[in-house]
Amino acid sequence: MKKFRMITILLGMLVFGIPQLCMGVEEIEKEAGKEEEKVLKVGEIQVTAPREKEGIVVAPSFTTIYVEEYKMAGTPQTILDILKDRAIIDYRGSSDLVQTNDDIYMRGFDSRNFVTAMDGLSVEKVGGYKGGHFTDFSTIPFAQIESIEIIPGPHSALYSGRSIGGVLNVKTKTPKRYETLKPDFKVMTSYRSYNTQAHRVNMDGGVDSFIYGFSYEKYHTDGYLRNNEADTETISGRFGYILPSDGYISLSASYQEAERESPVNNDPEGRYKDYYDSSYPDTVSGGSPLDSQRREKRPYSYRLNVKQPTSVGEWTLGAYYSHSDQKYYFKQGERERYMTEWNSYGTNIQNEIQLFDDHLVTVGFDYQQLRMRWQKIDESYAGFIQDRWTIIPRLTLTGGLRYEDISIWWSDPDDGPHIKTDYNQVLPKSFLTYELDDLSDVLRDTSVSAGVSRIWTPKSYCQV
Amino acid sequence: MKVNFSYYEMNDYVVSTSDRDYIKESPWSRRRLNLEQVIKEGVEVEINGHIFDPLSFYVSYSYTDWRYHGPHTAPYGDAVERLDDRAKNRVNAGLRYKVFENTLLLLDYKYQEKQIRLVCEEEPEGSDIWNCYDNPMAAYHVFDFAIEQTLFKKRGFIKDAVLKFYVNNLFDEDYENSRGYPMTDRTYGTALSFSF
Repeated sequence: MKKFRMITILLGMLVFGIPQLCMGVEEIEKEAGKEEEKVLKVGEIQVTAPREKEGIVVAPSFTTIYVEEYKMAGTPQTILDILKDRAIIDYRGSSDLVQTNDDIYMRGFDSRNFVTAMDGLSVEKVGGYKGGHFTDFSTIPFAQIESIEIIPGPHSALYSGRSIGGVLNVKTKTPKRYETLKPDFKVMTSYRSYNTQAHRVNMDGGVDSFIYGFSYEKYHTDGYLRNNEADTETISGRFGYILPSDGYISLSASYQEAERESPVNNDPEGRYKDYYDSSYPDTVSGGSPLDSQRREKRPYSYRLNVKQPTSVGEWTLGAYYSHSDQKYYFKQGERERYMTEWNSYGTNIQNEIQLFDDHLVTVGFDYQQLRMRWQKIDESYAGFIQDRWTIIPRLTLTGGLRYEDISIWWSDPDDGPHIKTDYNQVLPKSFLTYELDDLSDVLRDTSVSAGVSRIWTPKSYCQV
Repeated sequence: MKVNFSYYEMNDYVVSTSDRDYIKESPWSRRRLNLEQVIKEGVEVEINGHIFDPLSFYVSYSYTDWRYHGPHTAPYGDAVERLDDRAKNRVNAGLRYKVFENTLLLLDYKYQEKQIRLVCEEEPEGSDIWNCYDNPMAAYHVFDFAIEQTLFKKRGFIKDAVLKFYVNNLFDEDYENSRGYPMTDRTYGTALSFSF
């Protein structure tokens, strides 16, 4: 399989921020007078007041959706239901009631060419035979999520070269201290046509510097299409310790049991017309109605998050192990026809430091290993540096360099041992933003940005 | 408001093909083909805000266009067609109207332009026998509506009790999203949430 090399130029990005835009850390300009403008740089301001309850916050290089505040005309089954409201996300699944793997495209790219991450760490499998099975959003416990960051385009050096279409970074709840010993409970229950039920209970609490959280989620639907019933149950837990420096250590785990039927052909004029069932909608796609295909899976994962502010910058460490298996049943009641198993590991360490007032520098290292069962298929090392340079108060340049060293063990067409191939590449990234706020009242909260970045990835179809 | 213009120039872009002669001769009957140079252009627009205090809205628009500069003869011709099997224009929008202090009306709208997608299904799975066909999908407009009522902020030990009724696919639009399967017709739902 040939590696593919790509170059992208983001021609321009015109950004008009909304007045309610509120970011945690901002640089503030002050006008000293109309005749003579004097810019006083205050530096970093930590906003500690409660954030205004806006579900969507738009910034020049990303959009953040706050899950708890986000209002939608329905009940989100997974974060996919929230993401589907953004036009940059193209939902391509066969049913909105039964979501499966790789159901969305981002900026027109399928899930091989954009990154889904949790707290900056990629959620990824090696994929299935002949492609697919990269990301299942239902495995991300809804109750653990605080926000989703949508970063369009490939301009961040912090994420894998695979982030050609962009990045969906799911941020989990930041550990916080609790004033009393009583835990906070949240309950959500919903019922919808086709016997579709979603139930969610979560509990979060803490004792002194220790915090904990548990959640249980259950989803069932009879499905709209023929042979499309689904059941999923997900449990998750988290334990953490808040450090004296206000940093934290957090260890979380999740486990899911999922059973999903695959919709079958139900065409009164098709090749299975003799088995047509008029009580279901006509469906020209799908396999034989005699086979009653379904998939069962029991994925689980462990994740570690550490944050430690120090005098030499803020250190963050993330690590994960995830296991996913899938049994594909060809006929109901019979032994599984196929079984697939994936194991993935990854870690990321990075330091973010403010230098000379004008530079916010992030330096880090990534490692990831993806296995099909226990056969190593993909091993990636990456180092990166990114500098957010405030050239003048209005003008910010985010420049970065990312180096990736990737080994892929390609399967041999002649059924021999896997063939290891090494790839490496340096990826320069840049994103320039010019604030127009103080030029005119009309241009309040307006900025213009342009990004030019190199994109490259050897990861592609059919690694297994 | 945010407007993004993007331009991608991609070399060695791997796509799927259904050209039978190519598949027959490629190692392991792979269905993938390497396109030398692919251009992708796009526009994204996001607008969020308040029309007046109790009425807020969002609009999200996306345009995408894929082009291939290379031979369009077999097996490339087929693969190039697949490059552009995404709807070019898509619009999502929503209105949120706080009709009373504790009552919120929500209306969501989704539009997708027509698209044609190749559907290939291996049947039975693992047999390497593939059934491929073009699946044209018409443009669609889908509306979702909900009414959300905050029952109370605090009563006893229960807080933030919220009841929601919703109708998805309000006008019962007959549409498909991708794989040639009809999407769910009009559905009704209710949800209750609270904390303590």
